Formats: sequence, C-alpha cells, structure tokens
Amino acid sequence: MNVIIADDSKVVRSIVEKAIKPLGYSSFQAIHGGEAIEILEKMGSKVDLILMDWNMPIMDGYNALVKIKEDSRFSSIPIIMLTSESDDNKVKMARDAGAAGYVKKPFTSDELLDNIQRVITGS
Amino acid sequence: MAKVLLNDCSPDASQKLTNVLKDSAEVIVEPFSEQREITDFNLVILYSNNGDDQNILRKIKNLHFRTKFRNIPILLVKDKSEYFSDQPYFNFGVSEFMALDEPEPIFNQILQGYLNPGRQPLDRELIYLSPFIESTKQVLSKMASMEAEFRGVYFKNSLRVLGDVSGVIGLSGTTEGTVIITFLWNLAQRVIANIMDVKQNEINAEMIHDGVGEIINMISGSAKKSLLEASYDFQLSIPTIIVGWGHEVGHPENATIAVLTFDVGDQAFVLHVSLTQK
Repeated sequence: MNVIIADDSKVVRSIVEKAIKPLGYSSFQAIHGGEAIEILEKMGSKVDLILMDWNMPIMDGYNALVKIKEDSRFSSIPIIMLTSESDDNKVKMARDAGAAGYVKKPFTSDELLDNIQRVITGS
Repeated sequence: MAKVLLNDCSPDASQKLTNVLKDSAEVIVEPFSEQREITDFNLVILYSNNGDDQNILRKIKNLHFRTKFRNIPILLVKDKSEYFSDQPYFNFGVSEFMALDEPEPIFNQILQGYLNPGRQPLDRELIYLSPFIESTKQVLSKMASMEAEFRGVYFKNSLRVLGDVSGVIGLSGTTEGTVIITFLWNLAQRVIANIMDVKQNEINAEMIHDGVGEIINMISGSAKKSLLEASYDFQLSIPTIIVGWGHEVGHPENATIAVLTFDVGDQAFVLHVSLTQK
C-alpha cells in the first residue's frame, strides 16, 4: 500500500507515518495540497490512499480533494481528511466533495487506523 | 487572608511595605531565592535599588517562571521615582513599578488594589471558555498521553506573552479574536516528545515550533464545533509561532482577554483566549 500524507506539520506527518508503518504501508509526504497532487502525477495509480489535512498554506486540503476527485485518473483513490476542523459543515463539505473518511484531530493511532481500515475494506 | 512575599527588601522598604499591608495580608520578608515556592502567594514584591538591571531582570523572569502562569502580580519597588525606561521590566513580567517616595495615599491604594482578587468569569464568558478548556485537555491527553489539569482563569488587559514559545491562531468571521498557547521550553519539549513518541533530547527547535503550532490548531479546531453551537462562528488562520520572552500580541479592541492556566505535573502552561462577536 502506498499512502500520501499531506499535512503542513512535520510532527503530524511523522506520527501518521509511525502509526501506519506497522501495517507495512509506504508513505510519501507532502506539505500542502499542491504537493500531494504532484506526487499523484508521478505515481499515478500506484497510490492507494491519501491522508489530507484541511488547513495548509499554498493549496488547502479541501481544494486538493476537489481537484483530485475531478480528475478521472485519480478520482477512485480514497481520500481521508485528517483535520482539526470539527464542525459538521466541514465534514459535509468533504463528504460531498468525495472524501471517503474524516478523522478529527486530535486523534489516537487506533482511531486513525480504524478509519483507514474502514475505508480500505469499504465497511 | 492574602499572602504577600517581600523579596530583597531594605529595612526601610520592608517596614514601609509591611505597615501598608499588615492589616490586609500576611507579609513574609525574605531574600530572593530561585527555589522558593510562590504559587500560594497573592502578590510578590521585589525591591531593588541598585543599577544591576540584568540581575533584576533575571530575578523577575525567575519569579514569573515560579508563578506557573497564575495570577500573582510581581511589583518592582525602588526608593525613588526617577525617569528610566520601565519597558524591559514589563517585558520580563513586572506588573507595576513603584517608588517608596510616591505620595502615601497613591502608594497605598495601588498596593491594596493588587490584593483584590480578580473577578470570576461571567456565565456568557464560560460559554466560550469551556470548549477551549475541554479541547486543551483532550489534545494533551489524546496526542501526548499527558493529563493537563485546569487550574483557573483570570482576566487582563494586554496580550503580553511571557513564556519561551507560543502558538498563535487568529479567528475571523462573525466572531473574531486570538487564541495563544504558551509554554516554557522544557514542557514544550516534553509534550512534543510524547506526541512524536521519541526521547525529549531528540526534540529540536524546529519540531517544537511545528508541534506547538499544531497543538494550538487542534485546540482551536476542536473547540470550534461547540462554539458554533453557541453561535460563535469563525474561520481559523494558519498558526504562527512566537519564540522568546515578553511579546505583546494584537487582539480585538475592547475584547476581554481570558488567561486559562493548566498544570501538567509540576509544570504549567497557559492559554490566552480573546474573542469578540461582531
């Protein structure tokens, strides 16, 4: 499994990488939405999952989500929003734009892995 | 009864201050000590009449450090009123500069004023402060496996940051304001080490800046849902970091600045919340 972790915080990217490593996942790190799309352009269908922060400079996670879902080459790749935005409107916006999951920060490793599992297995 | 600590006072200063305070406070006179526990005092007065500014500033900073961000004013007392730049003293944590030769009624009034306990939060203030208290405890617990104990709230007029590292987030919308978390370096390092599950000595300055920014982002973001339900609607800015002691941060005009203090074991940190509804 190849996972893109897009978050402007190195600390968050590090803890997410650490959380998913025991599952054998390889991670690719992006510091904003635009970088996540650049990695996608390079790797194409080899990417299995994207974990996307919402508030990032240059291109935020929501805009990146919309762009990726509009691109038929990448639209089937599941995206989990991983964000401190907790209000229900934002959750709905993300769902409507095609996000497969929504993990609210703060989160525990177990909560993150449960969400990933749910999205991967489609349960 | 209130408790007042007099540090480094000359016999004359000690006598004058004790006379003014003795009916309303228990007064303890001691030389300055870096190890003295001071969190059970209501007021600390440091006397200095020599020109060794660096030594005075060091003592003020140490006193502020030992207040653990609680509402314990630190007054600096000298013998004579004279023109000098008092800004460095304020930047290091002094609440007021006083001279023993000031007119007695004014001197007494100012001192007594510092013994009045601060006001309690109003119900409408608790509506927006409670979500920040809960989200702060939750972020420390979930991300760093650390229990933050809420110690209390007080109010002040300026957003002066007296700590080593602060994460600042701006709120904009029909509610606007500023939320700031401030740590001393050692606790920040401990918290980020716990979050990243590494040893404390592996945490460098860049990680602390990044991590403290993420912490204030999570605290504000988590509080947002409850605040929206209470009609406080806002967008979060990207967090910024302030490193260094004694910065003044902008805040909405006429906004109340609430200071929420938290303990983590024997260390402390503080959250400033300043909100106003348009």
